[in-house]
Amino acid sequence: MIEAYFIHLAILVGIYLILALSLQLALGYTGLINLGHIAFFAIGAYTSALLTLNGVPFILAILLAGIVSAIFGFLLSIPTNKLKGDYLALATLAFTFVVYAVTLNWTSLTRGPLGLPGIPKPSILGLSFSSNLSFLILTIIIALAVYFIIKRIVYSPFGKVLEATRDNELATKVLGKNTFKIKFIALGTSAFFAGIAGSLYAHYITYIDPSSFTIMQLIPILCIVIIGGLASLKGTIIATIILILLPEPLRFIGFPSSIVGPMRQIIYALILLLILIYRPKGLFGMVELE
Amino acid sequence: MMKKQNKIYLAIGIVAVVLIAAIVMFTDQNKKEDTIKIGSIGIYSGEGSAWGIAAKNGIDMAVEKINAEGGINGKNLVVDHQDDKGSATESVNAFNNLVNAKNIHIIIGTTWSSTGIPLVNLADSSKTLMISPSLGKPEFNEGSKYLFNTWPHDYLLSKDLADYVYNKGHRKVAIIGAEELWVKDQTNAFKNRFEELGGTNVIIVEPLPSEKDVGTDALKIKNADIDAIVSTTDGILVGALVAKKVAELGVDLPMYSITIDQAAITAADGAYEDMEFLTSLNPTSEFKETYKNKYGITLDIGGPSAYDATMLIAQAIEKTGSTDATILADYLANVKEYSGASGKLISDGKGGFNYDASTQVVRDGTIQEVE
Amino acid sequence: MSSIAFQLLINGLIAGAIYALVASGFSLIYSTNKFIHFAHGAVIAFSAYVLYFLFSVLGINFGFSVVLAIAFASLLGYGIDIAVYRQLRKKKTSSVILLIASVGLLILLESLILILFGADVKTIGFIKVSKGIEFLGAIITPLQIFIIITSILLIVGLFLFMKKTKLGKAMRAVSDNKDVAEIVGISSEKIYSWSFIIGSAIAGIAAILIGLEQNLEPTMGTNLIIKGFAAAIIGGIGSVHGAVLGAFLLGIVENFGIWYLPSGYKDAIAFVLLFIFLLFRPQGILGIKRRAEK
Repeated sequence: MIEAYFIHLAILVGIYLILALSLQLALGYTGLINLGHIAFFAIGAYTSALLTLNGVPFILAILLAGIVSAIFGFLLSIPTNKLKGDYLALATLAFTFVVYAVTLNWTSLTRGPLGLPGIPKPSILGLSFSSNLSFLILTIIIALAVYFIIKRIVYSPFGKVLEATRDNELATKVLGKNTFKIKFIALGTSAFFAGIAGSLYAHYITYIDPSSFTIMQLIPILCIVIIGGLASLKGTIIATIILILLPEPLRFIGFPSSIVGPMRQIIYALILLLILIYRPKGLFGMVELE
Repeated sequence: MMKKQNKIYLAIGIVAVVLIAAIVMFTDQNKKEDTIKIGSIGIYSGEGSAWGIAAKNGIDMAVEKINAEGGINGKNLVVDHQDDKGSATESVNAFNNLVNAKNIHIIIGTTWSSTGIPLVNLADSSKTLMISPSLGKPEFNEGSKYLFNTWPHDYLLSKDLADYVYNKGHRKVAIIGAEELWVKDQTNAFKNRFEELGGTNVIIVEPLPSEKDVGTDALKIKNADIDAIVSTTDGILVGALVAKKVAELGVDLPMYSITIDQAAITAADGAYEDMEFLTSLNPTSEFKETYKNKYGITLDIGGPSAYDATMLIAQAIEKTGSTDATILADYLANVKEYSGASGKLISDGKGGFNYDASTQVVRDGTIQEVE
Repeated sequence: MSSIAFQLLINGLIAGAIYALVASGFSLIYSTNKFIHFAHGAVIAFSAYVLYFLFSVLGINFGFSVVLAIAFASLLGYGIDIAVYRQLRKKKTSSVILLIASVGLLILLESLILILFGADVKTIGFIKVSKGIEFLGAIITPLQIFIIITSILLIVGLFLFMKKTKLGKAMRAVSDNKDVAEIVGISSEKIYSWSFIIGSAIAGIAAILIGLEQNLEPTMGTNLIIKGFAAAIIGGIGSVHGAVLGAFLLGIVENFGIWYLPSGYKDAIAFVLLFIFLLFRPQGILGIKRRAEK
């Protein structure tokens, strides 16, 4: 049925939107080239899955997923504080690899490559969200909440400080601001929301394994943020919708399903390259990637 | 460049086009109502695809036969094949696609336990009938009344292998396993039974299926004091890689295995020569011939069992006059015996079917009967 | 030394030689262009598949196929530079953007391989498996000996090239200080192109050897470049000999490491080392402090 299909797409848009907005906070507004964002997604997903599989109620699990991810975000910001530009990008990317290696090898906790199947659908105060429609409503509520929270952060005085740090960290320091603390908070908050997205993802797909969180999954998110434009929440929303929906017709043109996957990636990669070359501000960006 | 206004319109336009295209495609598909739709999820590309494609062919063969004989209650059977590429995530996506997007609640699949077990809860809660033609863990069909299996459980054959190896006189073995859900089951079943009989499992190596450089694992085997090597990796290619490396290191010991297929033998590049193995793939010669004539390739695991699964479903639909998954599942639960292409299937009462295994050997790079 | 330890050392040298083949071309490009060209992995993968296509599918003579595959690699690298990197350089973009673009290219090319060749593992099938040769208690196959020798020759060759030839010296000049080099009359764009041509040719050689030793699968590029990149960082990314040192070190540490740890940890060793070096010693073992910190 068509509705079921669109509900599925809408849920994906919602989850990726939360993930993209959280990356936007770190990358677009604070200037942190965090290529390791998928690691926070993974940490949130695994935390939430493990907790609920052991009987912890969903509300607690999703919050803890965000908190645990945030803690890692805070931790990561410490040694990376002095790194700039490509070294920061590389270190955060390496962080993704390390998290992947941990989920793969800490088999007593994560079951390694066997993954975690049977993740329960969310249930809050007795209300079960097992149908896709109810899950969509849950996702929309959370996505809206995340959007408004991030919007408030970004338009607040603290948001201005974030952007100042992005534009000229030295000057910001000179003006007396503790840029380390600023980046610390930004990365931790960004990780918090990524963890929330991870939890939603785990409870929707009901199965996760280490291969769900690799550099492959980074590409769509990175594309969304860059194509939508840095420091533009509106751009992120529109880019998420476009990028998630755009490859879908491929499914119906009759390509075998083994082609659809790589074709999606090619489309994303091509658009990313074109935007980087011809329109680095993206669709609605305020700043150029630097 | 464009004004902000126009950019927004462009974006909305793109989205609208996409949605309209999807709607058009969809309504097109729903026009054919006089068919019975079933789905399949299997490994149709990449590692493991030998079994998946065999199953796919088996299903297609059955569907062709059924439709040629007038269909089921007058309606033609149509299959929607989905490739899970051996990935559990893809398998879940494929399941959602079939069940949620296309409202298909009768599915044949999956090829491996690692892609099938994640679907157990989903199948149960969405009331979807699934029959697997080749996965090995009993947790699948025992996990829900909607799930069945026309391939005997891995652990049964693994236990039999332990007896076989012990009876050949071996007491100290190395096991080549892998860090994979059902391979671990087979490894443990063999290991426990072998120890029960009085043998010793001197060393067990379990590399990740994606591992390319298995030199150290092979070295550990070379270094061990053993009189035989057992492989529980079936069609997982890293097992063949380890065997190849072990051969390179100059180790020449008898090898035993279960459920080996041609793809694994080719990947081992000669290292599996003279290996004896147990397998549940003993189809009727009639089926073997028909398959060979139709597809030009030798039959592989999953072929006859997928054929039987399709036939069983067709029988259920015909006898109950319904395509409702719950009714069909109840019917199938009452099937005690079935003579199919795989042999004589005997129900274990829990959704699984068993039949006889046979012993075969690898000679000149091909599978042959033991004389 | 016990024969096991020696075998592990040999295994480590073989792995190290493979990483060195990847890392040397990669770091030649890095030291000249000053950005991370992740797509190098895809150049290797694609060339391996081209060899497969020419030799195993079309049946063209092996020697010919090898030459064509290497030429293809060079061309692909050069093409990427012209089509993507040069356009970005014209806009004076930072190395971060070039890095992101290279990741995009890596994904693009790998997805292309998936579509063209499918996900199955492919074998080149030129060499039949044979028992290895015994050498001081350890076993090594002829192909593996060839890989080690080739990588050593390549490294020596690169070293001589950079030191003695005019082009090599020009590359070093651009690498040290692009602006001064231009003043002296060296065209940096031309040098960039040459670095891609030569670096990618090395990638082509790597592709041939790795394809023969390890078989082909679509994601081989990503895996190889991550290891090659790790090797380069550990050894010192500014120079080719740093990358090579890191490569052999990584190969040896990995192989000794998984004698004691379960084999799933092999990549984990590389990732953790990479992460630690990036955080605490980004210039690597040999490296000179670059503008890693600001």
